Amino acid sequence: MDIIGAENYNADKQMDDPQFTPRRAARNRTKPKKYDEFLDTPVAKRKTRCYVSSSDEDIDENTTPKPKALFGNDDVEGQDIFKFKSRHTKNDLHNKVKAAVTHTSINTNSPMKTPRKNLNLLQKATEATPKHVVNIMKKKIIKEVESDSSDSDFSGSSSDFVPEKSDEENDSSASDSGSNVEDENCPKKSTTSLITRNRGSKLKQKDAEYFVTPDNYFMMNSSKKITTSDHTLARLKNMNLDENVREADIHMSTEHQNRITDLTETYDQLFDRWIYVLSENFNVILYGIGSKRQVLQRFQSKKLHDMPCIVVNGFFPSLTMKNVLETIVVDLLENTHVPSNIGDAVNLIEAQLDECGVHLFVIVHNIDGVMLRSFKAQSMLASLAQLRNVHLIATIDHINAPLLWDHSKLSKFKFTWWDVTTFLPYIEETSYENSLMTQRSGVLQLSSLKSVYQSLTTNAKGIFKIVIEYQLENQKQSHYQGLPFKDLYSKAREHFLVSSDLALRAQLTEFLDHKLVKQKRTLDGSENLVIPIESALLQQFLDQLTTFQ
Amino acid sequence: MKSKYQDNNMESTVSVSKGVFLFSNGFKRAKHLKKKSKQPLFDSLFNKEPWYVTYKYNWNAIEIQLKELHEKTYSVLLNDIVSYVKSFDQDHQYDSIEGIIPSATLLTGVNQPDHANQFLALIHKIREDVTPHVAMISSQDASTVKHLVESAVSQLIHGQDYLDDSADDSMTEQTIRLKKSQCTMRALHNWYQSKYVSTSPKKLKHAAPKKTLVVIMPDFESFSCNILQDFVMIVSSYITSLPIVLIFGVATSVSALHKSFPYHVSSKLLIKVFHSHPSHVYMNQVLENIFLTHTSPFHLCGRAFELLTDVFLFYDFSVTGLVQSIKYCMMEHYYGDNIKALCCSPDKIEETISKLTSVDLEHIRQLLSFRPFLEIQECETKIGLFEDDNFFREVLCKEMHKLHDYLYSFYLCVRLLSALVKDLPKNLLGKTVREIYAKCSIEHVTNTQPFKECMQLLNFQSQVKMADSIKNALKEINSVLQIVSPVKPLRSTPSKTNMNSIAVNNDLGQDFAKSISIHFLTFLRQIENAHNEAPVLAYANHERENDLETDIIPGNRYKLKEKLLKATRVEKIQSEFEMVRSRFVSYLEEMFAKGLRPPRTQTFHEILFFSDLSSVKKQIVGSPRGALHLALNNPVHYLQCSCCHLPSPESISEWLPDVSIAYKLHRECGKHINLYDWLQAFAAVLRPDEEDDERYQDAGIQVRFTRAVAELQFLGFIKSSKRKTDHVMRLTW
Repeated sequence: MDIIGAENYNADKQMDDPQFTPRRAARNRTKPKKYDEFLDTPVAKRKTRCYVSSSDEDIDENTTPKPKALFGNDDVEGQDIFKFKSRHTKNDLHNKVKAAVTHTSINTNSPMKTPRKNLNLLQKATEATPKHVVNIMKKKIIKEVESDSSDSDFSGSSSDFVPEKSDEENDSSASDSGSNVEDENCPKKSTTSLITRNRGSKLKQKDAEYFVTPDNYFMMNSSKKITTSDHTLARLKNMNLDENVREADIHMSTEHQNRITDLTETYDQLFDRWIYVLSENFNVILYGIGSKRQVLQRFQSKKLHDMPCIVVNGFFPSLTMKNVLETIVVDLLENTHVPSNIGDAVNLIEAQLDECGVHLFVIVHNIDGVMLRSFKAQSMLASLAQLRNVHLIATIDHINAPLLWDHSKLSKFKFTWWDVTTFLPYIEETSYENSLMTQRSGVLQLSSLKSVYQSLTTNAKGIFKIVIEYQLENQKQSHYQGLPFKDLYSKAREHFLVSSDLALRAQLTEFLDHKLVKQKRTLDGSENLVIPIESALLQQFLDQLTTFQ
Repeated sequence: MKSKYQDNNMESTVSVSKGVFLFSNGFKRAKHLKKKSKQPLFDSLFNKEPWYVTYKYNWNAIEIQLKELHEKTYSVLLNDIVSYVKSFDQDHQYDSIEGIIPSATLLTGVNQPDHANQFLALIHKIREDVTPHVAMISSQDASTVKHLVESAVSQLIHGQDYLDDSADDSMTEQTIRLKKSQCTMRALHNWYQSKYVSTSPKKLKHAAPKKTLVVIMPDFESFSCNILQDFVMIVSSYITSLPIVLIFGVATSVSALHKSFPYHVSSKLLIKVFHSHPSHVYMNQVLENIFLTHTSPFHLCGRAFELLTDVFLFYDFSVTGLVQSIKYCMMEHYYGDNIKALCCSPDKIEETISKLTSVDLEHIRQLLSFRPFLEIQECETKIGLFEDDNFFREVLCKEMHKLHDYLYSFYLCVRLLSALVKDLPKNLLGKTVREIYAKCSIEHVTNTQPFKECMQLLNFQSQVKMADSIKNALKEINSVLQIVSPVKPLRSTPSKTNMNSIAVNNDLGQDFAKSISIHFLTFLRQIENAHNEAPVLAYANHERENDLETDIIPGNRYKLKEKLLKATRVEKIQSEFEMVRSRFVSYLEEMFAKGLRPPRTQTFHEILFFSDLSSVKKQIVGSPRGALHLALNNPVHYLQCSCCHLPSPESISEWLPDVSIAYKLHRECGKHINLYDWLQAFAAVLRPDEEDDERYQDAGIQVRFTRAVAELQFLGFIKSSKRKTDHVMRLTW
């Protein structure tokens, strides 16, 4: 934790001294407001770093050395990224949205919406409320909430707040500093109430220090139960987005588009510097949000157009280190095969590149890609990057990417770090990935289901339909085992779909091959058939079928 | 045309079947083999720039120094190991013990990156002194026992050419090279028999004494235990016919060895442990001998220096890393700036100055530290400085020499201070030269509280200690004085008359050092002589105390108290030693006030001192996570757009980029996030005015949300979860 924290929370911005940063000077960044706050809060932390004056000499003897220049005032405060949050409630999300909405749209000007800051003030003011009163009030409110939580649509609103036992117990026990109740009106609904958990002033103060609140971590992880609402994406009516819509242009305002082009152009000025750094046997690593492919491609076409160059897409799902080595050893250096031992392969590359007096540039998009995350791949890349004639330019995106390297690897990589934030969408990078959303909405599954289904014979279609219908009817059982083979056979016979047991099995193999159906054996030895697709999707499929016919 | 090329390029690196793309850009191996003498690629890029030439020259000099220092530091340790290995080479006392492998364990410390050099030096040394047959096996070559044995055996048989290609004469007569797959212990045995044993009866005098075979494993901890155990067992079965010695490099402690070897294996090993220096000792040596001297061409300002030592002390303990960081600072210092060509050794200054163009001179005139210098000049001189390039060159030359003189005395004073302060209690200024350097170069150290306290403490020091520390200080001075600076004679005669009008305080440099040396010598003599007088006074005091004691009637505490009080009121007569001591301390204060002015007070210090900490910090200590958070939390910082200004960093507005909105919303959730709710919140932020139903049906919003979620997943903030339908897990707190 310490190391990661220390390594990462040095996001230093150089705005304090603009004359030192020629490339950024023109842009003249405004100082983000939060720094003012940062400067206020962690006073205690800062103090320890200063020199202890002579008055408290006794303490002085035992102080451990503190880094002096490592952390500057302009760093991103580690607390902001890493601190243990106190327990999240459902309302956090809602409150956030509300705060945002009040800020943006003034036209609603409802007096009952309290901006966040006022909220805090209010909480402080009401802190003196005796505990038992609070508890009574809270119980009342919970009752109320429960009563009208039946038919609201908007998840964030308090209406779907389902109070839990664990919560209640927590609150009533003395350990918690007490919760606070606040009446608030929702703009569009009838009067409902919100329960906001008060962190209490004591706890809040502790929060200001980085390391004092591990309790919160345990609080957060104590209950196994997932305390979110039970809504699923099935509630969306247009679950399956059209292919065309999905591929539509990434939404971005024109202002942002212009700014992003400006931003990426400033990075072009770094190209010469990179070449210089590379020439001194350092390697270059780029980080920051946004796809960095474009920047690197420009770099390649501008600066590396007459040198041998290898581009590795680390995000490519079936990339192996062997591919990379093969490209270098076989395709570039024209050998017949790659030595099986990694050390030998690296030695070979070193010797041959040296012999030719040529420098090889390796560009790795996403060195933290899924296939490159193994220890072996990284140590291989490290020993390649270490060679005098190999120069590595890599990008990282994952937040935990720096954990890939231990310090012997880091010393081989000899990275220089460059912040290349572009805000460009990760189009190629995420294209191979099964997005959480699209997977849920099941467009792919549905379309593949359809295409397989359409190629079936009418009899097979009938059999498949039987399985679907049975599954949809019976899925609500707690232990749905699937449709027993025997039952299927009898049903299929009834519909004159098959005449014999064997014929049915022949049909079934087709389904099994396409993974439309899974076979399960139960304890008593009977075969059961299950379709491994969610019921909502199946229902939709069935609906579509009936409309087509 | 260009854009077309770019487009082609773009498309060509995206494929559904390939992840690696080659752009050979006209490279053909056969072609390049012929014209081998082609100039290295990079040299042609910068070679003509004066700054680059100076940089390269200076860095090479530093590298040579580093190498020398390195050899010096490790020589003792390496000699120990080599003589240990030798002992098995000569007397075969251990032959009698069945199956015991002699082995050395080198405790290297956790700074593994530094060890490569150490082991290379060891190999070199063993080659020279003991045996040509050395194998070094790193853990990545030893994924199985087979690989391990193969690479060990082939290195032992084929000797040097694995590690350096220089010795090729002897290798040519070597018989056919064995293939990797043929390298087994049996092959090694046969080879050894034919080389050393079987020939011995024929020509006894030629048959050199049996050479030991040395196998080195530099990173013991990264090997898998089972493989090592097997290897040890195999070797032990051959040990009667093959004199093998194992050397392990262990980063942690000896217990690592015992943990990975069970009794039946460790009983086969005769282990002797060697300790190497802790890395911080080595770091101090490197810094003190190479970078914190007046001979170093390039100097770091205090803050930058602190950053680098902090990285060392708090992150990696690696001296190699430290040197690389310093190298990076140096690169940054010189990059693209021709006036930095002046950042060279003093004897080259004239030459460099004569080569500077008037544009460069103009750059120098714009340096910030030139201003105070200008202000104290007379009007005429001022005009001359601006208009007459030649005159300016002369002044510049003079000032640069002055700067070097200043450096000379500055580093001398730093060393003196550290020699004097080192043994004081409480470590107010730090113990090592580097700590004191960092303090001195940041501020006027003589004005600070710690310095004053140190001087006070010095004022309490005993005679013996004082004499000792003065002696130490004198040693420092003499070692510095021995490095004769060639500057002196060159600049003794000012060529122009108006040169004299320039205010010069020429009291630094070597003269300064000499005067300090003389002063210290006299003080030392005085203090040592004062030794004789001191006991008399002490004795007198002692007698009076005795008086006191005899007077005391037991039990009469009040009287005793009275007397003690009276005794304190009696004025102490300063002994001679005390007088000398206080004079010495006041001399020190005066001297340090003169010699320890921080670099930024000097004219043209920018040329020699690297002070642009902020520009290198980002590159040396990356902050990928911080940058991500900052960009997502406050996009304005990067985008500089007018639309995204937020009232507070936590707030959300619909104008923010989609990822940023999704990120901020997800921070409000607990460990699990309901995708549906998240989507609704997202939609509510984007379309605050619309009716709920309308908003939910908007496919556009869904698409945007889907993309944002996919990107957050790609960035590692969330992952899918099977615990509940349509939920994702949050991966950060």
